[in-house]
This record gives sequence, C-alpha cells and structure tokens, in this order.
Amino acid sequence: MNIRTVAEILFIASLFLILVYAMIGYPDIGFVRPLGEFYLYNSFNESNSTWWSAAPNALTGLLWDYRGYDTLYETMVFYIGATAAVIFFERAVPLRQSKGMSMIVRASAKLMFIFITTTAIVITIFSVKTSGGGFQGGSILAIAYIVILVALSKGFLPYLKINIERAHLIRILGLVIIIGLALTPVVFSLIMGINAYALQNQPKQWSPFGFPPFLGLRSLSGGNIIPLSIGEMLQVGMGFTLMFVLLTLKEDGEEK
Amino acid sequence: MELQFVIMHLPYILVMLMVAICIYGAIFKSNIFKKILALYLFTDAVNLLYIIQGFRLGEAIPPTLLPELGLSEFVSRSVDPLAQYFVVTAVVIGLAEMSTLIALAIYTYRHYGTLETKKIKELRG
Amino acid sequence: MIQILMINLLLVLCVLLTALAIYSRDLLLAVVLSGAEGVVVAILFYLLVAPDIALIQISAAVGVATAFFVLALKRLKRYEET
Repeated sequence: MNIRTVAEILFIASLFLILVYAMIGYPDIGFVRPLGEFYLYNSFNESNSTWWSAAPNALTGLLWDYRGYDTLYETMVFYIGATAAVIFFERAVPLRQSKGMSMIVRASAKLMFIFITTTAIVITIFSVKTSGGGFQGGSILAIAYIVILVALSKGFLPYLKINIERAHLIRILGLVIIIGLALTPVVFSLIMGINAYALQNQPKQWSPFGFPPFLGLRSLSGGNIIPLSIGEMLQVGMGFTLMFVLLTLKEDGEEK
Repeated sequence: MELQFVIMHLPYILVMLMVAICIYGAIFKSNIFKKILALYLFTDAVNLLYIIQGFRLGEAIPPTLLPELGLSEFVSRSVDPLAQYFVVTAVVIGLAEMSTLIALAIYTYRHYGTLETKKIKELRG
Repeated sequence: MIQILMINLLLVLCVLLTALAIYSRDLLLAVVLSGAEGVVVAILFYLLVAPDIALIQISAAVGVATAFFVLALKRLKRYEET
C-alpha cells in the first residue's frame, strides 16, 4: 500500500463523485420526449401526407428522410477516415498464390462466405419493415471477407478475384449511388422549372416532386430509402475489408 | 433515500464508474496501446448511456410499426427512436477512428523501437 | 422493476470486465476481455429494446475491432513493461 496506489484510488474516487453530482439533474428513466413521439406518430401515417415518410421502421425513416443531411455528412467523414487508415498501410508487397489449408476447411469457408453475403443483402433490403439498415449490412459484409482471410491463408485472395483496385472501385460506386440519388431532384427542378429540394423523398404541397411510395403489392415501401441503404452497405463494407486486407500483408524487411 | 429511488438511478451511477476507470486508464498508464484500448471502452460506455436514457417502462416495443398494432397504442408503448439514431452512426465512426490511431501507433513503434511514453521522453528523436 | 434489476446486474459485470482489462499487464488478455465486454454490452442493448444497435455491436464492435487489435498486436510487443 504505497503512496502511488493511494493516489490512484483517490483520483478515481474524486472523478467519480464529480460525475455523479453532474448526473443528478438528468431526467428519469422511462419517459419519452415529445419530439420522439412526433417522429413515431408521423412516420407511416397515410392520412397526414405532408409529413409522412413511407417507412414503417421509424429509425430508417429518421436516418434517410428526416435527418438525411446528417447521414450524408457522416458518410463523407467515414470515407475520409478509412482513406487515412489505408494511406498509412499502403506500402505492401503484391499478393502471391499459395496452397492454403486442407480441402474440408476450404469447402466450408466458401459455403459460409455465400451465406454471410446473402444475410448482409437481405438485412439491407428489408430495412424498411424490420430492424436493419445500411450500416448493419456493411459490417456483416466485412465479416464475410474476414472469415475467408482468417480460415484460409492470405495467398487465397487472388483465387477469390478480389484485389485492392476492385475494392476501391466498389467503394466509389457506393458513394456515387448516394450522391446521384441526392442530386436527382435538383437536376429535375432545373430542367422542368418546378420546386424540388435535394434528398427529397415524398411529394409535399410546396414542391411536387417525389419518389413512388409503394413498390408493387404494398409489401415494400419507402421511396428512395432502399437504394440509399444499398449504396451505404457497399461503401461501409468495402472500407472495413480494405483496412483489414492491407493490415495483414507483410512488408519488405519488416519482420526480423 | 429509499430503495426505489436508488434502484431507478443506479444505471447512471454504474456507467459513470466505468467512465471514471477509463479516464484513469487513458491518463496514467504509460503504454500507448493501453491508452487506445481505454479510449475505445470509453466510447462503448457513452453509447450505453444514450440508450439507457431513451428507455420506456412498462411493456416496451421496438420503434417499428407492425400491421396488428393501432397507431395510438404504438405511440404510447414504443421506445424513443431519437436516442438510437445517434448511436448507429457513432459506433461506425468510432471504429474508423480507432483504426487510424492503431496505424499511428505502429509507425511510432517502428521509429522509436519502444512504446512506453517515459522512454520516448528520454530518447527524443 | 425486474427489468431495471437485470440491467443493474449486467452493468456490474461490465464494470468488473473494464477494470480487469485496464489492470492486466498482458496485452492479449486485455484485448480478449474487451471483446467479452462488447458481448455483454450487446446483451444489454437487446434488453433495452434496441435491436438495430445490437446488430451493429455484435458485427462491428466485437467482430471487426477485436480482429484489428489482435492483428496489430502481432507487430507490437505483447507484454507491457513496468
């Protein structure tokens, strides 16, 4: 029990007491504020056609319709952050072909890869009805490639036809989808002369441009929410995969 | 201070204890990798705080309108969607920021040969 | 009432895992303990009726982050000096 341990415990205790004193004014658990109830009430309310976004899942409607600008800037921040990490890892040798592990491990890894990719796509497309979305699908897509890298050796990546330039291109494709759908109303309004805003989902009384709310038989809805989620999944998934692939490559003269 | 009051406010107190331990770990430990790990657990605790504040007592359902629910029953029983919206973006951005910090730590190790801040202060480039 | 009691118990487990992860001197043990803490936080997210965030926590914060840390630790030292 020297002086250093006592000083550390005193530091933690005093910091903890200051934070608890700051938390006394926080609201009680169990009550929802009125702004949250506004979003819940109007997210799939067909009788209120000024403020509805055609998504039964209130969280997906919040992400891409009510607060679409915040999600757009957050996508840009993630792209820049992943590019910074990729630049630091960029000095690497190119991949070689190698033999890998036994046949049982190879076959089961390929089967799991197909299942995990299907799960990622299904979670992204049905995000307007149940829980899911672009970010969730992108993380699950990254896990599919990590399973291949960990179960087999890294010499198997040329066999699966993924190289670094293709991953960069898929990332840019996801961003192009998002920005293209965001700027379509602006181009439309410049040509036709009617009022329209960027990232607009449903037609309002003062700007009559909108995407169709129901896609066939009233089972999937949402206007431009589903293509935006697919773009987000491609961008996030390939960003994680790129950082992971570049981390595992060996460099020249680095391991002694 | 009866028992009901303490149990209803105990989640906030425990999360603040976790935050205090993580801040101690980020300041007083001298290994750079351990500082990065403590910062990552810090963001985990703050996301937990957001979701605890948006909970609703009684029978709670997720913020998704199922076809058999009426609109007024759905609004009076569901959980706050605004609290979950901030956490969804925060988790993914936290992961991208951690990977950039790890890249900088690998560069520091390759340049100085050690990862302790006390020895780096003596080496000086 | 029972809900808040369950949440309190899991939070106590969370605090214990965090303290152990920062105290230990073997860095690989610290990374494994932070992965276990991520699983407990995912269970907490499910009990607090937030299924979207439980999906993100399990796939990104437990799967991808633990893999990053373990692979980065291969190029650094495993044991922390005094």
